[in-house]
Amino acid sequence: MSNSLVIDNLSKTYGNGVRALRGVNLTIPTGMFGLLGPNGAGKSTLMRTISTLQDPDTGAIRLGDIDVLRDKDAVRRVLGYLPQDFGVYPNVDALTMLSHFATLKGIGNAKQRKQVVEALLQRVNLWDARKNKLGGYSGGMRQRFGIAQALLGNPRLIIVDEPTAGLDPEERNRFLNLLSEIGEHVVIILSTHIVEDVAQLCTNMAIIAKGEVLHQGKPLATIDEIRDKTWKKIIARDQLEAHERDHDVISTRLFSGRTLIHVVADAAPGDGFEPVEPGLEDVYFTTLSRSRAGDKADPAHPTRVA
Amino acid sequence: MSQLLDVLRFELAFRRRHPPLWIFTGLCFVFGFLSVGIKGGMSLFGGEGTIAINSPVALQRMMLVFCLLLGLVITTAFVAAAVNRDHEHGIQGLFFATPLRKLPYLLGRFGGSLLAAWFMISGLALGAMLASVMPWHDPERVVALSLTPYVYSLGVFLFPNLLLIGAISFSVATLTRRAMFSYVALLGLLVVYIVSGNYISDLDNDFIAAVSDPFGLRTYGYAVRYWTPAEQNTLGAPFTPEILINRAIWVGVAFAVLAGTLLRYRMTLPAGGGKPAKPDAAEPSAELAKLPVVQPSYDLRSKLAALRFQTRVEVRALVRSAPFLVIALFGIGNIVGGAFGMIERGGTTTLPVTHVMLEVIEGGMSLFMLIVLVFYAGELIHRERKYKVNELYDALPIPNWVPLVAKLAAMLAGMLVLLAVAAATTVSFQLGKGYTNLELGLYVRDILLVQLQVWVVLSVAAVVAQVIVNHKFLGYTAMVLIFVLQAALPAMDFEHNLYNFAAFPRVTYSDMNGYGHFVAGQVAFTIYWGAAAVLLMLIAELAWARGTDNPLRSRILAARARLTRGRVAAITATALVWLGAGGFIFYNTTVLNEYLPSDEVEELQVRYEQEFKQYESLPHPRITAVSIAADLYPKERRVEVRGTLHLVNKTEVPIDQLHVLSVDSQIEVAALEIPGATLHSHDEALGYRIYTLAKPMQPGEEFDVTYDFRKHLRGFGNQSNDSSIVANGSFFNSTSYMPHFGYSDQFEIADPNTRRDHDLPERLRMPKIDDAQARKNTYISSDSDWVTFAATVSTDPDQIAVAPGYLQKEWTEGGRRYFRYEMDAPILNFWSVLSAEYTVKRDEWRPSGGGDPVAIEIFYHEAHAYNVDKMIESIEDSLDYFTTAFSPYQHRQVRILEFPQYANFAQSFPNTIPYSESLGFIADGSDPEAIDYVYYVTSHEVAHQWWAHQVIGANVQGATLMSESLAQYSALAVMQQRYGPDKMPKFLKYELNRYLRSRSSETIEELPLLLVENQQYIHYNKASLVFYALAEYIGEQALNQALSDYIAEVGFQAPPYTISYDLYEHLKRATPDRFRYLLEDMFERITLYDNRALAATLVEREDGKFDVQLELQVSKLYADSKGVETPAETLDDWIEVGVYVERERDGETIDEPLYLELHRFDQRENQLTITVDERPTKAGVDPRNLLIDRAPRDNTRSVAKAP
Repeated sequence: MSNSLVIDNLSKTYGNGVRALRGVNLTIPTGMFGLLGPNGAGKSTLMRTISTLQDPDTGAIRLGDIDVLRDKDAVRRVLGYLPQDFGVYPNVDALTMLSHFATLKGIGNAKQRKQVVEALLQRVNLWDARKNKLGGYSGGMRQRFGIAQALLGNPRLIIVDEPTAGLDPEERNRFLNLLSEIGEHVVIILSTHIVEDVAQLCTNMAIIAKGEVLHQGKPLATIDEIRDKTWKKIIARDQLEAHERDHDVISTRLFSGRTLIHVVADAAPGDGFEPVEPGLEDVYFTTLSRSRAGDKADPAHPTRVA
Repeated sequence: MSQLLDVLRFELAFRRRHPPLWIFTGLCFVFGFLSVGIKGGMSLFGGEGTIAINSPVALQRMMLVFCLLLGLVITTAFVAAAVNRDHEHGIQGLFFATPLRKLPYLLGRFGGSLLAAWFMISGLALGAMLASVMPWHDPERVVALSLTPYVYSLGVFLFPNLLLIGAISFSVATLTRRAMFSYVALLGLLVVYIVSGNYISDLDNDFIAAVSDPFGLRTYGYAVRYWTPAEQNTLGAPFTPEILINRAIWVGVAFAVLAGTLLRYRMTLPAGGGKPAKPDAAEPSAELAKLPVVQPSYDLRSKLAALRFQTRVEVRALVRSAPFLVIALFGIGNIVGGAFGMIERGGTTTLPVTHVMLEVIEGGMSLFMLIVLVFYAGELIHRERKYKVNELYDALPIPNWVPLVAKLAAMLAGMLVLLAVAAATTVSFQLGKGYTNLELGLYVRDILLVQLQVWVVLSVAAVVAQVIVNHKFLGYTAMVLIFVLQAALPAMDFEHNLYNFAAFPRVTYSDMNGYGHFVAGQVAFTIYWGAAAVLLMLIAELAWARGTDNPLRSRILAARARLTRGRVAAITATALVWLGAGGFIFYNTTVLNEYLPSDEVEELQVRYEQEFKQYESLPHPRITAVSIAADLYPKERRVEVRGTLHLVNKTEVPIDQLHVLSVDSQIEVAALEIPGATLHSHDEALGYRIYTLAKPMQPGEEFDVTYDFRKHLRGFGNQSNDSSIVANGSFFNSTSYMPHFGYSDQFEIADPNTRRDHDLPERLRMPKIDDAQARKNTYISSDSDWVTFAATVSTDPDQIAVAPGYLQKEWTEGGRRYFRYEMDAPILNFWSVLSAEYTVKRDEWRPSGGGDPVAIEIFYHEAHAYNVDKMIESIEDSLDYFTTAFSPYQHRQVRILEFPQYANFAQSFPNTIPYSESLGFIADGSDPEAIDYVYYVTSHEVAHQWWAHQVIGANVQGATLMSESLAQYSALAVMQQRYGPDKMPKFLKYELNRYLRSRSSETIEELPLLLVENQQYIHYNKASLVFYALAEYIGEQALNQALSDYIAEVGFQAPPYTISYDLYEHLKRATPDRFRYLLEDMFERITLYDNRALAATLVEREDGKFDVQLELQVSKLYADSKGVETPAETLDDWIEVGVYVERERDGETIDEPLYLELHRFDQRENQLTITVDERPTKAGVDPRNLLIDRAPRDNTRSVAKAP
C-alpha cells in the first residue's frame, strides 16, 4: 500500500479576499518532509487543509488510498496533528489530558490506554511533570506535550506546524531530536520558516510563498544546484542600494556593523565578491528572490527576508 | 487633577466612538419609549386605572426596574472592562511605563465609564418623556409633562445605583482581572436584594427591608406605599428618611469598595503564568520507552466511551468552576430566604410541607438556573476555542455528536446539581423547623418529572443557539430574544403553549389529589418539547462548526454533506413524534377543551353586553325551590346534575319570554324543559337562550323547570384550568350547574379603561344605593330570593359527597354511594357539592342556655389533621358568641369540608363551609406570637351564616358591608374573647397596612364604607379597623345589641332587600351623641388622622408619682375618591391618650397601660400632663391605633426625662 500524500492543484481564497493557496501540487513520500516558507506563505492553510480542519476551493488530496477531503474521518484516524498555535486547559494535568485525548482517539481499553499514555509521556520526557497542571508548562514542555498527543494511536500521517517558533535553542534541539526519532514509515510534514529545521531533519522539502510551491526536492540536491554560483561581500550600509541594483542579491545580513550580502551569479561577479559554500538558506533566499523578481510590481511583500 | 481629567476625557472619547454606547443608549430609549408608548405598557409599574401612564410614581418604578435589568449588564460590561481592557489588549505595560499615577488612572477610567453608563441609562428617561407626549394617548390617562420625576429618578436613584453596581464590578474585575467575577459579585448584590425583599411584607421588619434594598426599588415603594392615586399623579420626588438612609448606605458602600480597590491596586504587570512546573529533566533518556502498538477501535462502544470521558471532563469544567459554586451558594441563600417568606406571611405561619417547599424551589432557583444555562452554554460550547485547543479536538477521529452531547449532558448535570442543592436546602429547612414528614419521593417526582423538563428544553435551546450562531454573545442575545418572546406572546394574547417556546401548562400539586388531572398534559407537553429538543440537537449536530474556516456557505455545505440517510431518518422520525404530540395536544386543548385567549374572551363579553343588555329589565319569574340529583364520577372527571327548579311569577305582569343563561361553555345542556316554551334563539358561544312561552306566565303563576347539565372533562386544556371535577376533591357550585334566568351584568367588562377601548358606555361598578330596581335582588343572585333545597348526590363508593342540608339517608346502589340531603330552612340559592375520600371528625355544640345541639363535622384529608381541633374550637366559640350576641343559628349543623389547593379560599354556603387545603389545614399553630388565622378564618366563615345567610344586602352600593364587614367584626370579637385584647394590635396592624396599601392602587374610586362597591380593602381591611374602634368607643355590648336588632328587623326578608343605611340607622341609635361625628367619619367619609406624639417628658414628683408632659399633634384629613386630602375644618374629637410601662409577662415584653383615657381635642397642637404612679416608658395619643393613621408608629414615643 502506497503511503504517500499527493496534493493536486489545491487552491483556497478566504472570505476576506486573501488568496492563501494557488494551485499547489505536491507529492510527499514517507519520511520527514519540510515545508519551508515565509510568514503568510500559506503553510498553515495547507497544513490545516491536510488535517481536515478546512476545505479548499478546488483541488484534491490523497493519502494512500484515502480521499482526504471526502473521507475526513478516515484521515483523522491515522492523523497526528500539532497545530501552530495551540493552547491547553490550564487546570488539567498532562496525564489526565493525554488520557482524555487517547480515549477520543479510539483507545477505549483502559489498560492499553494507560500503557500508551505512560509510554508517550516517558518518550517526550514529561514523565516527571505528568501530574503538573498544563498551565504551568514552559513553551518547550507544551510543544512536547503537543507531540505526545499527536503520536497517540500510531498515526500514519503526522503534521507539525511551526513547532519550533518561540523555543530557545536548547528546547528546539530537544524537540527536533524527538521528531527525528519518530518512525520512518510514516509521513511527517514539518512546516516552518526556519531553514535550519529543514536542513537538519528533512529528506524532502518544498518551498512555498504566496500560496505557490516555488521549489520541491531533496535539500542536498537542491544545494548542489547553486554550488559555485553563490558569492558574498561585506559592504557599507549605504552601498546596499547600488549593489541591489547591479546584482541579484538574495540575502543581506548585518555583520559587525557592516552588511554581508549574498548574491547569485553563474560567473564570479568580481567587484570584491568572494565565492561562498552555499547552504539551504541560500537556496531558500534564492528561490524567494527569484519569485519576487517575477512579480516586482507587488509592493506588499517585503523585499528583505533575512 | 489634570491627569485625572485627561484620563476621564480619553475614556469618554473612547466610549463615544464605540458603537456599544449608542446601541445601549438606543436600547434604553426603546424600553422607555415602549413602556409609556404602548397600551398597557405601564400597568406593570402601577400605571393603570386612574393612575396616569406617566404618573411620577409609575415612571419612577419603570426606570428603577429597567435600571436594575439593563443597568446591571450595561454598567458591568462598560465599567468592568475599563481597566481590564488594557490588560486584555496587553497594552497595560505601556500605561504603567508612563508617569501616570494610580489614582487618576483608576478614577479616570472608572469615572469615564460610569458617566458613559449613566448616559446610556438616561435613554430611558428620554424615551419615556417623548412617549408621554405622543398624540395617541387617551387624554385621561396622562398628566402634564414635568421634568421633576425624570431628574429626581436619574439623580437620586439611577446614578447611585450605577455607582454601586459600577464600583463593585470595577473593583472585582480590576483586582481579579477576570470580568466574569464581577458578574458573580453582582449576583451577590442581587441576592441581597432578593433576600431583603422577603421581609418587606413583615410589618416588624419592613423598614429594614426598605432601607437595605441596594437598588432602592423597595425603598421607594415603601416611601410611596400609602400614596393615593391623586398623590401618585402629582407628587414626584419624595425625600423621606428611608430614602435618604438607603441612598446614604449604598453610596457609602460604593465609595468604600472603590477606596479599597484604590488602596490594593498595584500598577505592575501580573507575574507570568501561575505556578511553574517542576524543573524539566534535562535530556531525553537514551533508552526511549518503546511505544506499545495498540489497535484503536472506532465502533459505537468506543465512541460511547469517548462520550463518557468527554462528559466527565465537561461536567467537571462546569460544576467545579468558581461562578457555578458561587451561584449555587446564592441559590441556597435565596431558597432559605424564600422558604421563610413562604411560610411566614402577613403575620401567619404555615407548616413547611413538602409541596410548599417545592414551590419555593421552583420560584427561588429559576433565576439562577437561567443564568447558569445561558452563561454556561456559551462557556462550554466555546471552551475549546477559548483555550485554543479546538484544532487539537477538531482533528480527532470523533463524530460531532460526541462533544455536542457531552456538553449538553454537562449542562443538565449542572441543572440537576442546582436542583439537588436546593432540595437539600429545603429538607434541612424542614428538619430545622422540626417538620419530619419529608416526602422524599415527592421531591424526586416533582423535581425530575415536573420541574426539570423546562430546564432541559431551555438548556438544549441555549446549547443549540450557541452552536448555530457560533458566536458567544450573539448566542446569549438569541436566548434573551427567546425569553422576551416567551413573555411577549401571552401579553399579545397569543396564549397557546404550543407555540410559546418551552411553555408547559401549570401543574398544581395537591396533597388530596396528587398531580391528578395535570399528569396527562404534563406528559404530552414533555413529549412535545422533548421531541422539539431532540430535533434541535439533530440540527445542531448538522450545524456543528468544526475546523478553522467556517463561513456560512461552507457550514451549509458541510451540513448538507452530513445529512446522511440515517440522519434524515432520525430527523423525520423525531419530527413525526413532535408533530404527533403537537396534534395530540391540539386535539386536547382546542377540540376536547376550549382554548380562548384573553382578547377573544373580551370580545365575547363585548358581544354579550351589546346584544343582550337591552333585555336587562325584562321581568322574570323567581326560583323558589331547588331540587337536584347530582351524579359524580370523580375518576372519569364526569358529573351529571339533573335538577328541578320551581319558578313563580312574583311580578305584576305576564311574562312571555324567558332568557336562560348557562354560563359554563364546557357544560353540555342535555335537557332544559320549560313547560309550554319553545326555543326562540340560542347563542351557543355565550350560552344565551331565549324561550317564548306559548301561554304567557301570569302573575302568581308557577311551574317547574327541569334540566340536565352534564360535564365530562376529557384530556387536558391549554392551562388545565378546570379543576372542579377531579379524582379526589371535587368541588363545584351552583353558578355553573344551574340555569340562570334573565340578563346578568356580572359578565360585563368592568375595567373602565378596557371599556373605553371597546367603545362601551361608562358603567357603574355597582348600582347606586338609591336604585329601587336593584334593591329587588340580593347581591348574590338575580333570579331568586330564598329557596328550599334538597339534593341527592352519588359518587364513588370510597368517597363522601356533601351538599347543603341534613343527611337524611345514605345507601349504596349499583356499586355507588348515595347521599340524600334536605334543608329545613330557606336558603339563598347558592349551593355547592363536594366529593372526596374524607376522614370525618364529629363534635357537638350545646347552647349554654339549653336548646338543641348543633352537630359539628370536619371533613378532611387524612394527612391534614393538624388544625382540625382548632377549627372545632373556633366553631364552638363562634356559635357561643353569635347565638348570644346576635340571633339563633338557623341550622342544626356546621360542616367544614376541605378541598384541593386549586383555589385558595374558604367560602360559606348554608351550613356548609368549603375550605381550601392550603388555607388553614396546613397552618402552623405552634407559634403563640403569630396570628391564629385558622381560628380567625373559621370564625369569619361561621359568621357568614348570620351575615349573608340571615341578613343579605341588596345588589347596590354598601352590600358587602352587611356580609363581609360584619363577618370580619364578628370574627374579631370572637378572637378577642379567646386570645385577649393584647393580641389584637398585631392583627389590626396588618389590616391597616393592607387598607392603606390597597387604596393606593384603587383603579376607579375609593368609596366610604357605607357605599362600598365590593372593594375588598374596604369591606375587609378598613371595616376591621372601623368596627373594632367602634366597639371600643361605644362598647361591644351596645354594638352587638344594634346588630342583633338589625337582624331582627331584616333577617330572611323578602325583597326589597336591606341596604347599608338600614344598618347605619341602628348604629346611630347605639352611638352617644358625642361620638356621632366619629360614626360619620367612619362610615360616610374617607377619614385619615395624622396624630403624633411630638414630645413626652417625664418629671418626678415629690410625692413619688410621675408627671408626663405631653405635646400632642391631632390632625384629621378627609380624602376624596381619588385620594386628594383636605384638612377637616373643625376638630371636636375624642381620642385616647395613653401612658405605658414595659413589663415582662410570661416571658414576653408587653406594654401595660398605666393610663388610658379618652380626651377631647379641638385643636391641632395640644399640651397636657398626665400623672401616673409608676415610672412610665412610653406615652402618646391614640396609642392603640384605633383611628386610621398613615403613620401609626409616631403616635407614641419613649418618655424622656426632663433635662
